[in-house]
Amino acid sequence: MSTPVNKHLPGITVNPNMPDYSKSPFIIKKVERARAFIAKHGLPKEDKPKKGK
Amino acid sequence: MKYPRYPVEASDDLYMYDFYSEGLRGRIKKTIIYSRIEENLFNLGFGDWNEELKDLDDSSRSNNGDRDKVLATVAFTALDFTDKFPDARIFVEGSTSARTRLYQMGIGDNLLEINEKFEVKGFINDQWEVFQRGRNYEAFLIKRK
Repeated sequence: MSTPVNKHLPGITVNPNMPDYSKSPFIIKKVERARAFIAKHGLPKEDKPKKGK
Repeated sequence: MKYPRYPVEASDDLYMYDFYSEGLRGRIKKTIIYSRIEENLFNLGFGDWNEELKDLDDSSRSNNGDRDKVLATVAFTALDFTDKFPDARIFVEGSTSARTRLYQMGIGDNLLEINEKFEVKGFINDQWEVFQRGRNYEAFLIKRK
């Protein structure tokens, strides 16, 4: 994966106190659902994630 | 996109964004989370903050009268996120077919602008294809051009 640059577009400010929503049951369920969808249907050939970047 | 958008706050780790929708039903907190599924593949999770559930929720429509501004704001976060992770592919699927259709309408209404920056594919009839207006997709895959 590319190394992220810690700079946002104008109109976006960083909130260091934002809750960690990644542990939200809603988000966990959404990610499981996405994984299941992709496992079942796959991705377009050219959109398979590049490994080792 | 041609619509105005809301000011957005982002988390330190670049994966989460918050903003407030302001409209007919008041001020509603919206959150967008890009969750890694695998290397360079992320799920876009989007919902309202539900104070009763203490969790995000996208099961009901806000009806705040600002759909286009909200969708423009979500699209803006995708632009910001893919600025940081240019190789990222973003998977988008609504929790319900009605929600997926709402995303489809948002993409369709802004396709010219979206196509300037993103390549959008839709899943329909058991295959992925380049997004076209008027097709009822089950899910979307977005990447930067």
